[in-house]
Amino acid sequence: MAILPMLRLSLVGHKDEEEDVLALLQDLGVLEVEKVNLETDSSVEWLPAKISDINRELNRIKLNITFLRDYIKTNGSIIDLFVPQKLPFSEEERKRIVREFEDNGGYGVIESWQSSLEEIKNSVNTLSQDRELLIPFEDLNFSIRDLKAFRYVDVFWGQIRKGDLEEFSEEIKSHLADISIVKETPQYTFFIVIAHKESSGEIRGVFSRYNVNIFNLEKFSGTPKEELSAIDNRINNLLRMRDRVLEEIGQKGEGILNALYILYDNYQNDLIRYEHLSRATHTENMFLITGWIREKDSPVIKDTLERRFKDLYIVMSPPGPDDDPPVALENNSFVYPFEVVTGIYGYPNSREFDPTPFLAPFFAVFFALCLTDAAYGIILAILSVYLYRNLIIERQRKRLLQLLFICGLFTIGAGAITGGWFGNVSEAFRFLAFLEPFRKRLILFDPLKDPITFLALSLTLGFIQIIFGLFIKMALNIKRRQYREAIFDQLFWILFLLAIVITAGTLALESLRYLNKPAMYFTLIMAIALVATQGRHQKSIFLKITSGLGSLYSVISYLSDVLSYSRLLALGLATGVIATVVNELVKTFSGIPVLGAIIGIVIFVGGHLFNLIINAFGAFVHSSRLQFVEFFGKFFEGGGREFNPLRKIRTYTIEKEVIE
Amino acid sequence: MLGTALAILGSALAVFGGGIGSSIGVGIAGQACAGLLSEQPEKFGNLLLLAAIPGTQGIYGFLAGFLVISKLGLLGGSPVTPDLYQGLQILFACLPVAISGLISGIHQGKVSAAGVGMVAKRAEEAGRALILAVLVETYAILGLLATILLLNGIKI
Repeated sequence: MAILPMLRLSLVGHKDEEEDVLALLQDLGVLEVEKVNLETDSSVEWLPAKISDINRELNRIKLNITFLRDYIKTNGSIIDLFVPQKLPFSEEERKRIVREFEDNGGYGVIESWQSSLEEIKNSVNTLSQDRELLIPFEDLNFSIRDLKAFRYVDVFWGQIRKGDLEEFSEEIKSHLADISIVKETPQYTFFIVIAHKESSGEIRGVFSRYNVNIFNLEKFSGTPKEELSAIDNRINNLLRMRDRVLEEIGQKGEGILNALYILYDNYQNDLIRYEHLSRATHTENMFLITGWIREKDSPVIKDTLERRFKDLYIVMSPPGPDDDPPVALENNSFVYPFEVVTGIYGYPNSREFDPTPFLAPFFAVFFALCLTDAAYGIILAILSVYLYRNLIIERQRKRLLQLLFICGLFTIGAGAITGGWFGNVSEAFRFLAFLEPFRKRLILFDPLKDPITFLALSLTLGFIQIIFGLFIKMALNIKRRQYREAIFDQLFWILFLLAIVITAGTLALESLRYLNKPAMYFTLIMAIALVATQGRHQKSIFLKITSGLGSLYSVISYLSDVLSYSRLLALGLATGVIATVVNELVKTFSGIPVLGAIIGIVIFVGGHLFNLIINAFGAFVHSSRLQFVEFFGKFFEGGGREFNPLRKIRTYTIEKEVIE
Repeated sequence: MLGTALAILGSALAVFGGGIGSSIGVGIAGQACAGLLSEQPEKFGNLLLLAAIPGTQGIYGFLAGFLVISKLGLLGGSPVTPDLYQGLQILFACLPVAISGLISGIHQGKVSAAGVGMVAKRAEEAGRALILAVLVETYAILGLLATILLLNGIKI
């Protein structure tokens, strides 16, 4: 239940064994390698080339994956949009799939698909353009070859804007040429001009003056109709070819895609390993790898390494005073999911406490109070169990689901004592009225009718958490033997804040009035104690007193911290009120016969789901904020970096054993 | 009757104040998200939350508006008629959530948009970007809280 003790591990061995050592360490996943900079470092000259080779391979696979994914229908669900799931393979399956992939032609298959699809696409495009050329002349019943290669005349096929036609024809006819109209559309006229070779230069001049479009029909010979049907035939053939390729992709693509995923992940892990190699130090024949391991892993590491490598020199030592080891947390199964919350803020440094166990109960309770609906709690718990069972991702990333499950259970409790079951469902619908007595029996207070009780509860919890935070800081100071700080900065403040609250309590409650005098005196004594001690860092007596007095001003910041917890009331009310609105809407619609029931159900499900999502999200972020700003501010130093050992990281796949 | 009208004005102010704040805020954040999504569509899950978070002010405003409506008994049941002063009280009680929602929604949108920039470079920072945006929301919540407590104190 805390920050795990770390050891520094140094390995010295012969260069020949270095890659194997790193591969073994990567399989174990236990060592965070630190970069060593020695002046005598002789770098590994083949490494940069190797790394860029792997990167090129990764890019190639990535391109192929993108290509195949466009053509293969995957049955992706809406969940994939938020959490891309991974494919589970065992080690044997990985090897088999990659072998099959290589036996069946490897990348060649994909690249041939790619190039034939590309070719077909280009040919179809060219043919379609030809088609466009011929369509205006479709009705001509002679062959194009008959109008080619005359001795004395040139033939032009063209298109002109309709408005210019008359003037244009006049001008054509004034030369040694004739024009005949082939087809007219609302905007354009298609024509054939036959001109004597002597005047064809002038005719071209006319064309350019009128912005006439001249078509090049050199490559055609038959009648336009024949040519068009030939083109259509070829297009159809190409499309059939395309279908065949697509069919083949559909049949073989999935296996190939799986192989690509596996290969990508393999190369990615190679890349990680080689990048770690560059963090080690090398002499001509030797290497030195150094880094951090968890103390509890040390026997296994020593054992495994010694068994595999006879000539490896292994040193383990506890961190020195100047070392800054990474931070690994270990917590029991209730607290473990809350590491998510700690992780959002940042890890503790290696010299303080892990805040996760301290924040866990508060977080769960605050989340529950923000949601305050038992039915939502049940849905949240069931949903997170369902997703936990069915999502195929690394176990570590499922912590959030475990967290939501715990928070869901707490929410059931908070909902029950405030009477929230889908808002006021048993009150709103007559056919559920039989549940009303059960609901009423569980209620401690109704937040809508009695918000002050809820507010008092929120502020009390906040006060407790803040005092608790000061206690943690005090314990930390005692552990560090800074007794003066522990007493003056924390104990005095705790007593002072408690004294203020007790004094306020004696003023508010008649039955405690007789304690009022002693409480006031106690508060005064604590205030004097603070004034006397808070300025102790100052040199002159005058500064000591003024900064002591000034420190009392911090009461304001404690007050504002406590008030910040009032958000629990606001968010709690928000859930209840929106749920009530949904129920009201359902009731309004349910008056309509037949259709009303359907609309009612749709609104009920959609409305409550929306309310659950929006408020669970709000509950999560606001509970986090209370931990980070109000609670952590009292004791947490942070600045630690998460323990990140050399291990296998996979993008597309996951080890089968992990999910079973 | 003027009392009822003023109370309804209060309810309307709460709903549209929060609504304007949220729609501008979500608009700002949403545009930033759309820009990033065109480059990195896989970050949709992270970004959705950032874009949605300035939307809460609208909900708080609506919530306050609904509390007024139910206080007036306008949703079924027997409507009550506040007098002129009670109507004014309700109107004023709605102002905290209306105004704080309007302004904090816009600013939360800006913080969220800046958070999108963080997520663009490092997806794992999404949680911290959210917390920064939530710091702004505190004041909308305090506004809502003031409105709820004030409404609760007004006796008709």
